[in-house]
Amino acid sequence: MIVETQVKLRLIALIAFLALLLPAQQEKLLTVYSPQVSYSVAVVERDGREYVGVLDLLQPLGAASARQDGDTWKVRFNSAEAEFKPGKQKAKVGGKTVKLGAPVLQDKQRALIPLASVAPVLSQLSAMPAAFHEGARRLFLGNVGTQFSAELEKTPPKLVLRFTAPVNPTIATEPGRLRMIFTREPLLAPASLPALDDKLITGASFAERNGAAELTIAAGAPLMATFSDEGRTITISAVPALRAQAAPPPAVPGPPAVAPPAPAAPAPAPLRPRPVVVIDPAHGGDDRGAILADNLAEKDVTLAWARRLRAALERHGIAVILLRDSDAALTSDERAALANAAHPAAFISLHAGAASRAVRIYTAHLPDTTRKPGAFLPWDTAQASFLDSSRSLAGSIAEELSKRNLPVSAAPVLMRPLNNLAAAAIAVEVTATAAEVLALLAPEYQQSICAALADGIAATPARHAAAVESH
Amino acid sequence: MTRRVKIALVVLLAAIVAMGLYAFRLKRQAEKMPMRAADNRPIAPPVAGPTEHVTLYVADDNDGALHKRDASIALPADPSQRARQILRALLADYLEKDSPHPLAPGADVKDVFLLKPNLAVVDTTAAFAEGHRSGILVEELTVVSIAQTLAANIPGVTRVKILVEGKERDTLAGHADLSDFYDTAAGDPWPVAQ
Repeated sequence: MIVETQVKLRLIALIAFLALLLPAQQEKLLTVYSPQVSYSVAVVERDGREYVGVLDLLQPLGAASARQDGDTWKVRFNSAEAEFKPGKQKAKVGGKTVKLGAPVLQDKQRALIPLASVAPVLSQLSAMPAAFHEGARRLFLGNVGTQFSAELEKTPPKLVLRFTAPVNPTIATEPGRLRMIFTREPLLAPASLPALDDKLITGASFAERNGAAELTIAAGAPLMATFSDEGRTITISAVPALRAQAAPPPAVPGPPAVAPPAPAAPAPAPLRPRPVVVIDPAHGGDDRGAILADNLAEKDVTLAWARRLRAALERHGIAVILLRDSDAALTSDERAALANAAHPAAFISLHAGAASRAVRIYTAHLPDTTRKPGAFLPWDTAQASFLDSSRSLAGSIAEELSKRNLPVSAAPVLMRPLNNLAAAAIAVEVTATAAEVLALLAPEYQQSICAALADGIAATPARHAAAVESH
Repeated sequence: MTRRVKIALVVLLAAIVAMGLYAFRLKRQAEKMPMRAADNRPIAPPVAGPTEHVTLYVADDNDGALHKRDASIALPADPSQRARQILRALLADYLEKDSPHPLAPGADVKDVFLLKPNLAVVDTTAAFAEGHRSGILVEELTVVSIAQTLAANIPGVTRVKILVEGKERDTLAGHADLSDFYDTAAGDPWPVAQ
């Protein structure tokens, strides 16, 4: 009896140990791409089938609500209605009967529908055609789709990927390959990828899985990705220091050969998305901002500066989001909401004015606070918890401007949307005297200041870390 | 045509020209009248009280700093009236012809409400905001100079709210936030030139 108990305990311990060794199972996701928004929904397994919550599926797309009437779930989406009955394999959606392929399930306080039925249900409710890549759990609503082409350039060797819309993939580098994972972009499989017979770049493959598209570039040396053309072009090339040492492509897998012991390969680099900087060209539309001269409004000057700063930052490999790239009107709350949603490393609000000739950097005039874990951020003072980062960013930019002998000063300001930003956030006001206000439009002047701003932004993390260490 | 008729015609012509010039002058005067009306600042009741030393934080666009300046002005006993007179002395500086931080004609403080424990609400005229120049620096200097001047002279005041004609306003002229309270004790202070 005692021996039997000991055996059982050992067995349980062994099973627990093996369970710890198993990698954590990846959460299953369905990604929906629509003309308005791209989003992912958690997929749950019930009775060996995959299901999604009806409201989880509909709410990101528009006004959706659901109520239980007896045993029927009545769902309203914009002006369309649907009825789902738990246990039934058919549902009434937008006045039509839709076959679901498996029974509707009730899970606590929500209705689950089979994954296989999301395309007809969404198509019927949104009145848009739906294309479902079921194996990869990617659903395309309407005519969304980003296509791309690949071209190999020989000298120096680089692979140029051109996309029909801006992209911002997560990039992972591993020995012998570079992976780009497109989660929010409706990237479509290319008709064909070019034959890659280069010593450096040896192959490229496209795959779709778990709600994302993945582009993998195989190489004989470490690679890096450079973004240009507002995120529409990605150039894959060798890391500069190693470009001259491009090794031959990895051997075709075969029986293991006897070889001298090699140093252990470095562990795969963690997935690290490119830092994102949000640039806010202040004003726009009817809000002209300061009138700097006849027919010269602040809104036009800030847009010109923003475009130039974007190019300067992209040269540093920093992804940039412009809150407006036209004469669009945005409220302060909209600017803050858009910027916060992008989870930026930094937010730069660009302004122009007529006073003395200088660049002024403003941080938010708020009391410093330390955020408690899990606490909500008050919208009006969201920036208060990020003031240290903002001051670090302002200091780094001021240092770069001073190096170029450009007059710079810093001050606190009570101004929106700065107060509402949950990230390092500053406002930059470039001013000139009234007599020389047209200098604000001079390309050389803009270039010089934008280069300093970009250098300052790019150097911020390093400087901030050094400052923290010195304390 | 006789000589007399000729003289009469010349006199008539001169009279017509003179009357035309006079009518043109009257028209110009009539056009200026509404502008003068807009320039009229509200007339404050005569201030009765001893002259006292106050500290004004005067903005200067050229260096983007506040300049501390002592002034002597007659102040009434009522704290709200005192606060208003101090701010009017500050704004008088900005309405001078060669002010380094000019405000629009008609910019004035209508009232100051001192609310416990530390809040001052400043009600300004429409011209104060409508005629204000747009820009982060020039707008923030106006707000900060008002807030710092109040904090320096009215014991206990650390928070200032600016209204325009008794109403809340989002920004002064597109930049400085007027929807929130300006807290003189919060964060980094605005640069003050000594």
